[in-house]
Amino acid sequence: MKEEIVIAGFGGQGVLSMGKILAYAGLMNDLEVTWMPSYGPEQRGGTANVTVILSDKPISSPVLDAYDTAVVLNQQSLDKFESKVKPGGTLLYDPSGIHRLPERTDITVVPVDAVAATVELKNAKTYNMVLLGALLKHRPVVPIDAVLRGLKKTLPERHHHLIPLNEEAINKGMSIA
Amino acid sequence: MSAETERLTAQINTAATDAERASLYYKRGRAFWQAGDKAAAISDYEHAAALDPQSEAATALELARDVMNFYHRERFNP
Repeated sequence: MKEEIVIAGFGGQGVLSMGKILAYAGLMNDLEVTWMPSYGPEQRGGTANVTVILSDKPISSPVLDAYDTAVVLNQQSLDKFESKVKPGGTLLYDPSGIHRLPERTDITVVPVDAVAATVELKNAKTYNMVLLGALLKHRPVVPIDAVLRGLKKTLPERHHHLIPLNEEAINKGMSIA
Repeated sequence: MSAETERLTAQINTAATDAERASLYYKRGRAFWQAGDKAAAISDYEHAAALDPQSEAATALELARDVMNFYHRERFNP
């Protein structure tokens, strides 16, 4: 098993932490992982993306030019990564962040209205966990319990009381995608 | 302005209630955000949240502010 994932959006949308949680979940599940963030030139309000590879064999390089799965949260990211999803791969996007719909027909395209789900959960900080739930529904690369253990590893202890809310957000993402 | 935002602007100007106006401001803000105009989007979310604090615009505003407040520390300290 080898899954190559890119998550891309604006800094502040939880892109990097979503990737980190996914990477830790892979570690908790005894997988080999890489996590490689990348930033746009802007100091504020700019783009951010992260590449995560999960594999049951050693990974030769964290650098990729094609992905099994892309999660895109704004138009710049869709423009950049839509063409780089491998045929048969999956593209998840947040429709509230884009104005041109994906056009590929050889991949699975999944809209995830994470803003609406976040409104229902009454907590804006759950936005990236909703997306993670949607991702795991379509590409179940790690089990939920590994994600929760990854969350525990990523979050400082003072925020551990938020783990049940994050679990609810992941389940919400699975239900809407 | 796109045709969509122009249509929403016309509706905002003739909306009968604050709740209706808040909903329209939220929709126009979302259209601005989709088009990449963050400042106009945040301004509309602020209008909508002021008119109706329970509006989904309040959450959208928080998300937009998270983006604008995010600071790429690593850029200067790689």
